[in-house]
Amino acid sequence: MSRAAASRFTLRDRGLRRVRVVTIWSAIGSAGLTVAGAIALAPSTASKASIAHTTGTSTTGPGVTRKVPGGAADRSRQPTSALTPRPRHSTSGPQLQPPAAPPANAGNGGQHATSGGS
Amino acid sequence: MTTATQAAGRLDFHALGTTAVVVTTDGGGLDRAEKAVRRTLREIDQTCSRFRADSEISRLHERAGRLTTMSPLLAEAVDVAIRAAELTDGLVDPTVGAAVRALGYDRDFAEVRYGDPAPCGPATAAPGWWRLRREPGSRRVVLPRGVVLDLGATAKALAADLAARAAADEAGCGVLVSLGGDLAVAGDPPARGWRIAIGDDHVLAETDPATTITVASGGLATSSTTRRRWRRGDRFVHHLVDPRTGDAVVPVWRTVSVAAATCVDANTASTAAIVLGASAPGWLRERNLPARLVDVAGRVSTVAGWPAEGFTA
Repeated sequence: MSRAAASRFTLRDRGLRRVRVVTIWSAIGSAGLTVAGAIALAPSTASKASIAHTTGTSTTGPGVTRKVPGGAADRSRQPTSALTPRPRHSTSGPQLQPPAAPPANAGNGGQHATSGGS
Repeated sequence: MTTATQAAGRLDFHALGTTAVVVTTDGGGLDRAEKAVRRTLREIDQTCSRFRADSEISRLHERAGRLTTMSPLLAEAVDVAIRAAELTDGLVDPTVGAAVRALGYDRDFAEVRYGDPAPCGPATAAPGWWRLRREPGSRRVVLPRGVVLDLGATAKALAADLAARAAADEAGCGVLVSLGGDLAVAGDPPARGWRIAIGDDHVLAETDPATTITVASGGLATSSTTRRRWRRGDRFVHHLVDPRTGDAVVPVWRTVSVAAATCVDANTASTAAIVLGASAPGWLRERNLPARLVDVAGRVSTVAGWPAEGFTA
């Protein structure tokens, strides 16, 4: 190969390498912008829900409206902090378990134990 | 204290800052039951007491912000507390520790009851149980810096459940364990069930019960705003804190008693009912949890199969 031809090949290779580097950095840059955009646009409740999801404690489903305990009637007398978003649980999920049978009236007489404030 | 009518064995002792009562259907099993109960309560105290500098939960607070592997018992207690928070939508929240401390309940109640002339600082809502980073399928947790846990609401009930189960297994008979009025039963009950006297105060209920009921299984708990009160500045406060405000609950109910499948669930529901206030009867009814609620004027409501009062069996 002549010197002139070798020089042309060298120049072409250098050009191709530059194009490749620019393409790679461009791809990395646009992926970064996409991730940053997604984080910025995500609603604040989603981040809390995802935290709870990480802990494995939440049964929250997306799009479920949080029910403030006590309902709307209580909302007016609740402090504003009560209205801050919180992880929600589905009413169809696990619940507190009632007893196998309700208590019965014992009538008069003694007792085995007591239950009251302590 | 009065004698139990049908109990073959019974003893009372001081534990977890309150009165522990162990009752067995077979007197011969009382010693074994007592040992099992004392062992369980000792383990719970060493693990969950926020008043002991050497407890595991105190060490967990020292490691805040770092991944920590908990003992099986602390992992269970933390998971029980998180479950209670989940199922009550935060009405019972283990992250109220800082709020409870701010009210002055920062040491054993025997020292707190005499009050403090200094007023409370501004109340701050609990940071929220969801901030605990529990790693699923392991005993690892990250307690975020600044979050103070108070497992008191559920750990005592868990202790009653664990103690009753262990005692029944070791004694081979029916056992009732009561910790300051939060009680669990395990094993075969007496023929007519366990007789439980209910009142605002679990000690006074021994001699002056408001009503007496029977249960055959599960747990029963009573939460009250009339006990565990102390003066702070120019007002009285009590130990039941609304996680949404960080302040002592403004009482609608002075006492709520709930029966459930376990003492943990009964305690969770009775505490939630006090925090919830006027909506509590409907909330309990929706969950089919038999309950007796006494409002601040002394009026009694019963829901979900709790026996009406005035009836004599």
